Amino acid sequence: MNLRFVVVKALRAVLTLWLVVTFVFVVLRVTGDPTEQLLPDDIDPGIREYYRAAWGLDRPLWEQYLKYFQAAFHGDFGISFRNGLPAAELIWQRIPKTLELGIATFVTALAMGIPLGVFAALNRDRWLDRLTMSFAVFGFSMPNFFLGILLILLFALHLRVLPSSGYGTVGHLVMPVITLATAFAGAIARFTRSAMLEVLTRDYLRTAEAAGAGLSRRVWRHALPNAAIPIVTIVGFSLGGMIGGAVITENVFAWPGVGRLLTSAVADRDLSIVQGIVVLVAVTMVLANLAVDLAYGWLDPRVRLGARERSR
Amino acid sequence: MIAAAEREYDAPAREASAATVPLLAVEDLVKVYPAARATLFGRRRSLTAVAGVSFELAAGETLAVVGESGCGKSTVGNLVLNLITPTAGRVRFDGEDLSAVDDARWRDRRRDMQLVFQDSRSALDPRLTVGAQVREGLDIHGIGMPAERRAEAEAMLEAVGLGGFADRYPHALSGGQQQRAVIARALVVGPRLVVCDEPVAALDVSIQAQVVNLLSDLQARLGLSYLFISHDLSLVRHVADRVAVMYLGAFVEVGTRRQIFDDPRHPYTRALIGAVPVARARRSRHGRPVRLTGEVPSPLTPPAGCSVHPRCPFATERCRVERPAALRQPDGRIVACHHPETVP
Amino acid sequence: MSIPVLAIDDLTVRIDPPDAPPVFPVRGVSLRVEPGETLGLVGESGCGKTLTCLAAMGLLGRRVAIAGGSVRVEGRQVAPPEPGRDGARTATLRHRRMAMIFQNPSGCLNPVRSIGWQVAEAYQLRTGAARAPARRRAVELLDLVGIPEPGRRARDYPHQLSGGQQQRAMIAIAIAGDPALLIADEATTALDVTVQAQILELLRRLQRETGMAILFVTHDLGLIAEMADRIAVMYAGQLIEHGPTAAVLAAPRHPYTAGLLDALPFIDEDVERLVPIEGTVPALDRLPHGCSFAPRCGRAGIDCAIHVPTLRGGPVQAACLHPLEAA
Repeated sequence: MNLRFVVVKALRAVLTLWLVVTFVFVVLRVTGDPTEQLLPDDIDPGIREYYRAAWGLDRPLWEQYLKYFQAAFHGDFGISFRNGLPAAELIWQRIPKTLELGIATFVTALAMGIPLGVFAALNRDRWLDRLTMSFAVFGFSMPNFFLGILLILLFALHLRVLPSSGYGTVGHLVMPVITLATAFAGAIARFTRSAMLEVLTRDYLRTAEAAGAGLSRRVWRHALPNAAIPIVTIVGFSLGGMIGGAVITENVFAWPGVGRLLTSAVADRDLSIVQGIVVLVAVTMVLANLAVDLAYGWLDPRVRLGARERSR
Repeated sequence: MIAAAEREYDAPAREASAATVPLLAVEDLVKVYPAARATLFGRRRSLTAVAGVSFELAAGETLAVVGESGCGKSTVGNLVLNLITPTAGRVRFDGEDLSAVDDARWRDRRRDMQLVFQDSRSALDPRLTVGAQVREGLDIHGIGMPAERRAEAEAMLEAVGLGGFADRYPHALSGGQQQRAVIARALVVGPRLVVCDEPVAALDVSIQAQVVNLLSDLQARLGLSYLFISHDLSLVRHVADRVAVMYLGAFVEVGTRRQIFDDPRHPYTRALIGAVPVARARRSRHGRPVRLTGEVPSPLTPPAGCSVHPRCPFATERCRVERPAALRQPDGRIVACHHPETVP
Repeated sequence: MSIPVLAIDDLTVRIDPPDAPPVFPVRGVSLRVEPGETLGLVGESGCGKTLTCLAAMGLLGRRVAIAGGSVRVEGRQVAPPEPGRDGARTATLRHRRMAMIFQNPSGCLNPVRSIGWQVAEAYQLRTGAARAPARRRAVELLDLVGIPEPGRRARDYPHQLSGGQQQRAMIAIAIAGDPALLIADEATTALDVTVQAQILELLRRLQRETGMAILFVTHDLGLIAEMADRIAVMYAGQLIEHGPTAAVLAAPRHPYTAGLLDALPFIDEDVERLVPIEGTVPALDRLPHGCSFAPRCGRAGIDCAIHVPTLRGGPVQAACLHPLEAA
């Protein structure tokens, strides 16, 4: 792959990360002295000073920033104010569980959304297309928590085939994944459909047809690799929405992931943890964007190879 | 009819000036565009679209600029009209150096210099009637009394064969009719020079002839000068007084129509003419046809020496090293070739 | 007599616009292409020449269909499908024996697949060869169509090739697996004249070497003169003149063909004034009664507005009630 392309994209990702981490620092300092929010109002000033010194709040701002940045660079976001454990460790424990939910959702959404979109495009303007697209719109219009509660009512309380909440077996995974993947799949289906409709009118598909390529070959080997380029964009963008959805879904199904940790930390005003999660989400988004950029290069030789000199 | 244009043409001052100085004189026009780097830390490159072009155009004359796609012929037209700014060189119109004039003077000059280009569909505003678009030029330049402009525009439409079409919208016109409307809009302000950039390339053969005839009728009637940019050599033979053959940003041969078509000297000119397929050969072709190999190189990496040498069957060591100067021949034409006389 | 590679009989193509009555852009066209010959199909934009070819190839798009007539490839009927015959087998016959190249090679090549991949795929589809030999054959085919360093170029993507080389790659895709007929639809229109000359030379050489027939479709009578053994002229969806190229161009019998030749500027002689054909081609939904060309024709009589003329005479046939004298 074109080295210039990768280097430029990676540098941009690093710059974005730095901006995010700095932004978190600025916001936390602008909102006031953390000791005033965390310690009781009538506390002895000496004790307050003790904490200020312990947390480094008595140092000049630039020194605080350097220390903060250095720590953040090593993944250290300080000690949880509530239970005294390192915030990073608390978050770190939760990541595999959220990752499990996230990857299962991602795969399910792609496996549902792309075939549905392709199917709708091939049946353009027929009732099958309209039906599929109605489902897609329904899917991403339905609020997450509502769908989750409906599923619990149906499968856990009424049919009693799935556990209503918790973590552990594959059965526990089914409902949260469906809840999260439905909206995502709906969006992917719609974008796949429009990307396919665009690509299906291209002349190179006529070339393939003239050479005798059957419908499935034209769709999967010729059209989809081209349609994938716009689809990847929307998948990257949707990731942000999915993170928001994950916070709600984890709470609905009592899934012990980062999302639940975040809600409890916000309720407890556990600043270190909130700060750590904000940076984590930012890192995820930046990495997702980087992945999208690199996927472009992988999918599209015009991006990968650049407008190189044409050979004559 | 076409009162504005004819009034201007009849003015004695104009006749006098045309006799002494050429209407248009272009000296060493250059246009260089910056281009992207090839590698991460590579040298920033440049693309030379026009590499030092000079020519003159007399009043009432047609000079055709021919060449293959990407040779820079359209850029020359845009540079003459100042639609893009030249990197170097001078354009004189009626003796006035246009590289030195300010914007206000340019607005004034636009009236004398108009453009007709290939894509008539995008040249016309789909939301305005044809009549309104023709009248617009008169409004912009404040020509005639506002009350007379409508009649003037209709007269111009009549002159291009679109009488009674003033209230129609562009989409209701055929391709040929749209191009007539574009011509009417260009000519209504009474220009003296019209740059025609592939004016009939998008039209079918039978319609092409209608528009070509219209252009030559209007030229005869209004004394227009045409800078006629085209890739179609048969058409150029039909419309041009003089022909400039362009390759990779520079003229390789400039001569009268007869010189270029009946006795081409530059190998590239001969290859171009020889490559045109003919439906009915009226006369045997001059000499042995020259076949070029390969395709036009990228202007980002122009060859050293003569720009044609990588494709020229007659190229010698000298051609590979030394760029030939454009030299005036005894018969008055200009050829940029080291060996124009030795070519069989 | 040999079996024609392609035999189109009385073909009518119908377009169903979403909210308008159907139109018939091709009406009653019959064509034959004999093995190894070049038939030139000429006409202005919208005359139905491309749709005729797409109908033969089975490539008509949405809302476009064959409404009448038949298409046979090497004697076997491919359209309309014969009852009881497997549709997939018919399609296989069609694409194994016929190939088509188009005007814009850059749009006709898949931008995310390498040139070698695309040529190999066509070869596999036509011959059923395995991947590895198809890859090797692709490099040979790229060499055959005159792409330098074919082994290296096979790994290039379409955007890395010039327009002329893209069209050469398209030709390699088309001739992979040795089809009996190549349909070239305005295949050189987008190219510069010097490159066009190279592509024409390539097509002639390939025809000599492989013996394939060519259906050469263009608006340019000059190209027809250079390439075609026979010429067929279309106007407003119908075939209006047909015969040996030299004979038709020397003395056309249909006033439209004659008009086209008069409207053309010549590169080898000065013409005082071009003679245009007045008026414009009629819209498909407003075709005149009788002869479609009559409203623009100087020779038309009252009978031309009543009867639709059919091809008559020989060796140059014209669909005209008042044809010009044969030479």
